Amino acid sequence: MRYLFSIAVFSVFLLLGLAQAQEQKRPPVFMLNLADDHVAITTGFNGTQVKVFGTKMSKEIDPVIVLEGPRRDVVMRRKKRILGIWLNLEAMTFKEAPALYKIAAKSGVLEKLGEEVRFKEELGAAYLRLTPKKKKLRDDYVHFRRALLALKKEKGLYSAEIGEIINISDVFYKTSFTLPANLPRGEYTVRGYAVVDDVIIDQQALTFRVHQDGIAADILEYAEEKPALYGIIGVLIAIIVGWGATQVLRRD
Amino acid sequence: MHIYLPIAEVSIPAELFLGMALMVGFISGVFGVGGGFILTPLLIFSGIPPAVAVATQSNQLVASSITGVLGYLRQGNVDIKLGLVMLAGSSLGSIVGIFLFSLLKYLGQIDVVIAVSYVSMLSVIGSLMLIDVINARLKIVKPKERRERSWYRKLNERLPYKMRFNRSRIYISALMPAGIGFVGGMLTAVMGVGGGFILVPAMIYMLRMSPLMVAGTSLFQIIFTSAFTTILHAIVNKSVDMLLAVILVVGGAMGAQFGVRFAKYVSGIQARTALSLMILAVAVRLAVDLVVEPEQIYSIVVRG
Repeated sequence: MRYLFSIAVFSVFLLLGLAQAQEQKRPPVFMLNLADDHVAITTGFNGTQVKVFGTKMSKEIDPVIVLEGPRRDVVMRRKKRILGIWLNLEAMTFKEAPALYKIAAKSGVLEKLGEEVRFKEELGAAYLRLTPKKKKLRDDYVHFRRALLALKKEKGLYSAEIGEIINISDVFYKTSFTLPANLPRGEYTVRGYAVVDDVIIDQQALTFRVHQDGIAADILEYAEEKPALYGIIGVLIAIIVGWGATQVLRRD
Repeated sequence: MHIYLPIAEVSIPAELFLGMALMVGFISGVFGVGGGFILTPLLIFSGIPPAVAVATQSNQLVASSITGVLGYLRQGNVDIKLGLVMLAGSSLGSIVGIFLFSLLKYLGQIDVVIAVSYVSMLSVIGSLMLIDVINARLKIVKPKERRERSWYRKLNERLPYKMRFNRSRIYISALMPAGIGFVGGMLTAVMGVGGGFILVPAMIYMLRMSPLMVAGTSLFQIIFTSAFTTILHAIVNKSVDMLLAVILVVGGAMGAQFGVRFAKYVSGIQARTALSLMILAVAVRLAVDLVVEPEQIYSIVVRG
């Protein structure tokens, strides 16, 4: 009887274990992937596309994809006229503003999520948390913040509109973001949200690196790591070309 | 063809920049000037950050001054001793200029300081040249007013460290050329120009040197000042873009070849008229930018 009981208990555990294994094998609710794991800025770089694709469990799920550049402090300056000349007189430093911000979602999905969720998850350029380093007047803050968003949009760094998500099938989706030529280097993040009606049921994040490559990267590395030698090489090149030019001049 | 500049972190059309360097090289070949005063503003207008424009331009100066000096050296029109004394002053001036530059950059005022310095210097020099040219064209001969004891002669008498410069046949306090060099060094560091337009008149009037010797000696001194400034900019501000420098140096050298050949067909007075008008045009363009209400009063800088 005892034996029988232990066997019964054992098999229950075994079944539970199997069930759990089964659970893990089930396709995840939402998956995110990048076509490339890095962006190389080469000498000929003139902007690029970042392709994001993935799977979702059902067609009821609407993915929201956010692409974010490295966060750094940003100084915004405002010109004022003094003695007829326009000078940078006022400034506001924003803590950790993303260098780039793009978002893609099916139309209407973001609106359904509501303001509170959008502010919490920073869904949309207008919903970014941009906090000034020092306390400033509310009115000033609004102006500086608006100017920051406008300038970033102008440079193609913040998306002016919400990108499109293409559903290849009920479970496959893809989207792509256009990155401008003046792309800042650093660690980029792709955040994906699985939205059903007005609820985020799952989310995932990936990172990729934007770095210089080829001659540009070599020059940058030299300039940063051996600045004195870098300066000397620059001077040597100038000396050779300058001297060479006189030799050409002298020939005739 | 677009080229991505690693230090400026902008993508530029290489042909356009090569063309700009060619044109400025041509001008410097025709007029015998460095051309930094045109190229630096042009680079800034085309979207190169001012810090990178100035530092990279100082690198280009090394090449253009070498091309210029060799001819004078061959003719024996370089006072090396005087040049070295000036160099002592200009190295110090360059160090002061570099740190002033970083400070102004940090405060967000570097653009305006560069622009104001350009406007004031170019308008003064351009107008003086133009007046000179007009007088020459109208054949107005200025009465040679000899103010016997001008302030700089009094200054020279009071200053210590008198030195004899045999090549230039002058006996002056070493602090005079060193002081002129100091100003030149600061100009190179802050504005990315050789400062020939200040050094040359200063040396002619204050040191009473012959114009030929002045041209050779100031060029000789500018080679080392600009080389020193380039290395300092590379170390302190990390703002020398070598890819841009190569484009500018090569374009400038090529342009100078055409310019020097073309110079034979231009008379001195025509050249001076054209140069003074060009200097004034650059000054006006920069002044307009300072005074006219900008389209965008906000600007953005990323820290670290």
